[in-house]
Amino acid sequence: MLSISGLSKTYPNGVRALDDVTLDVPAGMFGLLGPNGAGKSSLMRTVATLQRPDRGSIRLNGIDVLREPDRLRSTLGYLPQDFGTYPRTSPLVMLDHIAALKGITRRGERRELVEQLLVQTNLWDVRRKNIDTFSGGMRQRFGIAQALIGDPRLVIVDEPTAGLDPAERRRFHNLLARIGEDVVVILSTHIVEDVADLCPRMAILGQGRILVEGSPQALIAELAGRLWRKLVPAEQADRLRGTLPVVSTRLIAGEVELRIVAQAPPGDGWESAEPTLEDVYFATLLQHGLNVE
Amino acid sequence: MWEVFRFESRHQTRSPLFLAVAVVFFLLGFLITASESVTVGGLGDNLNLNASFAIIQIQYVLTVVGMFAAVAFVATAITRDVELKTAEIFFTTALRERDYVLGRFLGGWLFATLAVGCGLVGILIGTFMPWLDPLRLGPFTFEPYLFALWAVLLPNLFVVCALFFAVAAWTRSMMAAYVAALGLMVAVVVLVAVTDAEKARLVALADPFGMTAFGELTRYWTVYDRNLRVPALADVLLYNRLIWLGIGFVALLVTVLTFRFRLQSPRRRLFARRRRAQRADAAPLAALTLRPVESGHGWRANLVRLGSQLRMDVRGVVRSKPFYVLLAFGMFNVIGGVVDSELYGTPVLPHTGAMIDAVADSFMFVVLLIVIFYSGELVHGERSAGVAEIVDATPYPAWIMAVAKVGALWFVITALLTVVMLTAIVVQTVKGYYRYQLEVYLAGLFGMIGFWYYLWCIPAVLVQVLSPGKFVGMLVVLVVFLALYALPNFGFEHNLYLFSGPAAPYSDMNGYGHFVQPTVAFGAYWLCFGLLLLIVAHLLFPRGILAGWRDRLVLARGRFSTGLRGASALLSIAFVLLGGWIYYNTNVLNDYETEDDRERAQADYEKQYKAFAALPMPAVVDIDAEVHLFPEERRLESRGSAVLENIHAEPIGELHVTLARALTVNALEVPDATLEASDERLGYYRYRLEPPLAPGEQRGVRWDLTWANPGFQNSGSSTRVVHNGTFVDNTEIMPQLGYVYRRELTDNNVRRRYGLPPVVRMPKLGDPAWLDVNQLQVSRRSGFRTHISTAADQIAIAPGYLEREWTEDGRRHFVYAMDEPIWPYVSFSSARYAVARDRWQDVALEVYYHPEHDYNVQAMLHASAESLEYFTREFSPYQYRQFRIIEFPGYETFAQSFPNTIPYSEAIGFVADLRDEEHIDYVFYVTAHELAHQWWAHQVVGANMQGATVIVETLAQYSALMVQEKAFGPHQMRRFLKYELDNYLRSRGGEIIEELPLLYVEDQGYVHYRKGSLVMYALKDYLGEAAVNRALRRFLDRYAFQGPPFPTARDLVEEFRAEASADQQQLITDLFERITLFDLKVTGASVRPAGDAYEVDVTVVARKLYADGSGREEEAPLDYPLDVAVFPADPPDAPADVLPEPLKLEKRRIVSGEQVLKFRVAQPPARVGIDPYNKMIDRNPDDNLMRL
Repeated sequence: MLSISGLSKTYPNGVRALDDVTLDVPAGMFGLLGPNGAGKSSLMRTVATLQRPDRGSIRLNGIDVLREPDRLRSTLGYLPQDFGTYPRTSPLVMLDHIAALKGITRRGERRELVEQLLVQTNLWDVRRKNIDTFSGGMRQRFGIAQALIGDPRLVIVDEPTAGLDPAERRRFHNLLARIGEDVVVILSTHIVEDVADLCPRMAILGQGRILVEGSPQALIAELAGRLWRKLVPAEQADRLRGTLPVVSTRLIAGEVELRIVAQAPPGDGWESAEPTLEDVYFATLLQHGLNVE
Repeated sequence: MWEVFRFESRHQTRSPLFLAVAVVFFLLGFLITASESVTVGGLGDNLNLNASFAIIQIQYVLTVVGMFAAVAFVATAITRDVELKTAEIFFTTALRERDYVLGRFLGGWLFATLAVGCGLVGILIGTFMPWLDPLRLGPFTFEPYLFALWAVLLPNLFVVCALFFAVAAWTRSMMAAYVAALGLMVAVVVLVAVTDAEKARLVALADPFGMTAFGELTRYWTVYDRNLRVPALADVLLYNRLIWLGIGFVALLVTVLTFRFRLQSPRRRLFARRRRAQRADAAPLAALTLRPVESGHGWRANLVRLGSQLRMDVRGVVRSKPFYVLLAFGMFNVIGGVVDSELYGTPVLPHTGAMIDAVADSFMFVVLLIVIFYSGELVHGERSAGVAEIVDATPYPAWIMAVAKVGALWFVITALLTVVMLTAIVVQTVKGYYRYQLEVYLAGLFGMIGFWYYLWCIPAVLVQVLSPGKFVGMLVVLVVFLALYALPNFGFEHNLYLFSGPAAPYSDMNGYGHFVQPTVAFGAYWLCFGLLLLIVAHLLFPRGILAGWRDRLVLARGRFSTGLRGASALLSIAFVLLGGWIYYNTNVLNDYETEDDRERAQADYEKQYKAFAALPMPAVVDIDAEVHLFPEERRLESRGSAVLENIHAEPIGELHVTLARALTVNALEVPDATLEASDERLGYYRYRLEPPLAPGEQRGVRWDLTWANPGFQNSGSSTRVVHNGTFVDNTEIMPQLGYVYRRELTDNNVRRRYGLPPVVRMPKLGDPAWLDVNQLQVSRRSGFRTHISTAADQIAIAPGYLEREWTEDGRRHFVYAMDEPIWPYVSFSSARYAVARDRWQDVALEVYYHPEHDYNVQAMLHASAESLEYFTREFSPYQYRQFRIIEFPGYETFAQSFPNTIPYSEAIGFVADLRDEEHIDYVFYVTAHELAHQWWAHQVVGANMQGATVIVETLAQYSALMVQEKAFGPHQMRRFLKYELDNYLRSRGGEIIEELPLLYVEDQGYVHYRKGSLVMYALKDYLGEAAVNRALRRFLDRYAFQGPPFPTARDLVEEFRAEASADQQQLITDLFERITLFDLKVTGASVRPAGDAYEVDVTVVARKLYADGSGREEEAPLDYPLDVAVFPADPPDAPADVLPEPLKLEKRRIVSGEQVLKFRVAQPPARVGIDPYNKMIDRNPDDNLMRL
């Protein structure tokens, strides 16, 4: 289990990236949801030992990550948000290099592992092509392949599905879903479906703080009965938005569907809505005064 | 279009690039002219600081450097939109492609020109700085600046901008444009290096910068010309400009017409099909199960990690294009360097030492580029590729990065040196030389030279580690290296802070000799420092995301383990201890002297002791020298005695002695004398003789001196007493009497700095005060006998005949004695020699040579025999029973004639490649010349004044020419003289005081050797060989073994005049007493059949010019006979530079101006000419001939 406590980081330019983050992450998929700039990447990098926090501690299965970063690194798989590779390099060469860096000493073992990964991530046919020429989905699959080298206990994937088309995203989700159950997998994303599809547990991060934490089902259940919807013409929607706690707006057949959180329907025409994780996400941000739109 | 141009201009004016380049070029121009410490090669010391030649030359160099800046301007102008990802926006606007391209080009070109042009402003302002020596400034004119502007700056920048704009537009890549620029530079450098004088015109056309064409036009410019003249835009320079402007226009036109808005280069599109990876998106597999593997720790795993990182870094380098450009540069460097080492067009054998030398000089520049460029690429590689986050999250120990980066650089350098070595071996093989000496390659290339290359990598990596970006880092590394390179110019010369070691010349005879020890010492010292820097680089190597210096220091503290602390401490201690030991060697055991210190010592000697120069000194009339050499220690013990005689009319009350500064005095015994003053620093001792030495009286003196050479020196370590190949003369190891003129500073600019008056190189011709002293600065011949000992495996040689030889206490002893008095000017040599012997009549011929240098020994013996044959027949008998040639290491490149003994450098002759019979046999020439000195120097020598070297050197040239002509025929002689003519005319521009006519020559090599050959050959042509030799015989008859008083050059010329007819007297005046130049050309010719013969009319224009000492010319009336000739058609297989046998060759009276000459010949004529064999000194010999 990964436990983070009291983690804070302020950049020299004054931006407060992490503000007393405390979080326990059990084995299995953990979704970390948050808008751009919420501090997701800062948190991921800090856990991945790439960045030092000002305060706080991180422990994984008894390893004090800040004191012994190399012990964590030997059991870490990290897929950064935006990554490149050495120019003119194929996945075969690159994976072998990462495997060597991760300490797989025997060349034969390394080759076997790399080949296995290439097959598992469906990159076998392109193993000798330059990674530069890969499509977005192939890149991300390569990314997860390199993260999985060395049997990691903690896998961090930062915004892996941004920019992928639906089919590629599906494929990527399938890959993630097959990572062993006893591994802590943190999936950081701003796409709600990622979490809804995959994660038994999740947290929402905003302005460097954990806003809410729990299982998606429980969080959805919490909202049940407090979410109301109404279809209104577009010009009315703008007016209502100024006066009501609008969680989300969506266009449906030329009219605007407004969703609000309230203990009771605020007036005529409002009907109870079935909450989704997206509603939870927006409601949480709204509750903390973070403007989403 | 103007819209794009305005946009581009706005961008450029705001970009830091423009400002930075403008400032850099301004400073470059300013510093070169405003500082006497910063110079551009090839500008003579006698030139004004604002000489027009210098201004133009500097501007050429600035535009070559400016090429790289220009690439940045124009290539960014076209690639910027792609790189900033604004291309889509721009390319989809309604803008026409043509306007876009042209606008971008004009903007880039304009600002590149403005920025680089700041250099010219810098030059201009630099020449007005108040601290410049006013005596070195000529009058200001705008002309050179105008020329620099419209013939250099504007066209050159247009050409490079157009070319590289085209490359960048075609490839859409900055890097490609840079590689192309580098490629062009390499091509030009190689082209210039591998071309001989004969193809110079072609190269002048091919050089895109026009620098070679300018060099070609100004080839024979004198100092006067260089100070004031500006070349006309004509001839090769004009064609060059037209050709390259044309190429530039075409490149621009093609770019403008073919440019299409596309994101990728068209070339890439061709390959896109193949490169696009297939979509491998088959259905996902059931389970992501991996066989668990052990993740390793400890050394073994870390070595694997290091190996893998190193492999990735090396891959990155090996797969980049510049690497191959630089490798190619390395290869061409070797080839160019070998071709460069010709003498009289004859190549040197490609022996391994020469190959390494060829590389060592010019290669540093390439390696520096590599270190600077790749240190930036490698250190910032992970970050700029975006792979850093992945890599940094893996469990590698931090030291791997710093070590891998340095290791990858080492790999690159090793690859480069290996390519250089292999190229050199291929060159050797192609030239049929198979003695490869791999051990010399390894020790020299990878050790003595390469070590420093390897070492440079570490600070370069450290700078990049500290630098926020690679370009900033590259700039800083460049500045650091330039600063280290420039520091010695400002008097900071100690290698203890210059990150370097002493220069280590290689010689086949002596290997790296005593230079190994200081190189190892400084190498170890700097290696300790380098490893410390490597530790710092490791500590500060960025990992992960660092928010500032605080994070770095926290990281560094974490990495500074106990082991590293210990290692740092040990390295620091070793560094300090080695530094101390080096300091002890360079500054305690030896004197640490900078160039300034040496100059000051020379100036002090002159200031303090020149007052005594006129004091009469006794003459040395007998020498008994004992010289004990300890080659392994480089120690020499000089003991001995001499008999001095007062040859003057008055008694001598004071005896002054000068000792070479390196000598330690154990004893100096002057009987009946008191030491009045002694100056150990400058080596000057004054004795008062009590009683004075009466006229005719003799008195003995004794000396006991040591030349110790302890430890090692910081720089300028003597190469005279060495492990194998010692060569010293008496002035270095024995006391000299009185003031020694040779110690004076000769550069007037330096002399002014020390408040000394302009140098007097030689007393005036005929100065009665000097008639009794000869050119060797002595007045009497002396008996000579020496006992010389050396190591058991060496042979020691001095002038004289071997009387005894024995071995005692493991040392070899020799006694040599002369049976007749000689000039007291002798040499001592010792080395492990092989000996070749021969005889000519009753003269024993011997060559003492390095056993591996047996190539030309037979040729030397042959040349000696031929020369003795001619000289004894034509001049006078040879005065010795023996003639010996003695090889010495190639630290110097001359041969020198002592009585019956000629030390001869390994670098000339011994390794000449004479296998091609077409080549000029300069071994023969040098040997004959030196042997001739046994007559011209040892039989007769001139009084020490202007013209003295005519008797010694010019006559030796003449003698060698005559033997050579007999041996090889007039054709090779003409080729030889062509080199002499070219050398003489070119050297005039490098004269540092003033050129003098041959008769008044002041020991100026280009006059007494090069012009001397031409003058004597012309004299022989007019008077005939028999008459000239008759005159020389008379001259020997009168003066050989005579004196004082000694003859002067005028006495010699009088002998020639006595052989000449009345109408040849003016010619002799022109040859010897004036600086005479001819401008002879054929301007028209016609032929008509007359019966079975042909009548030929030839129009010639002739001018004769007299030049003054600075090279300013004035026309003088010409009226004497000159060669005119009519030639038949060339035989089909004749070499291009050989004229066929003439149909008619005769001397006809030629006067100044145009005249028509009529000939009648029996066979059909093909060519006519005036002075067709270039016997007269003519700057443009090519127009002497005309085809009909």
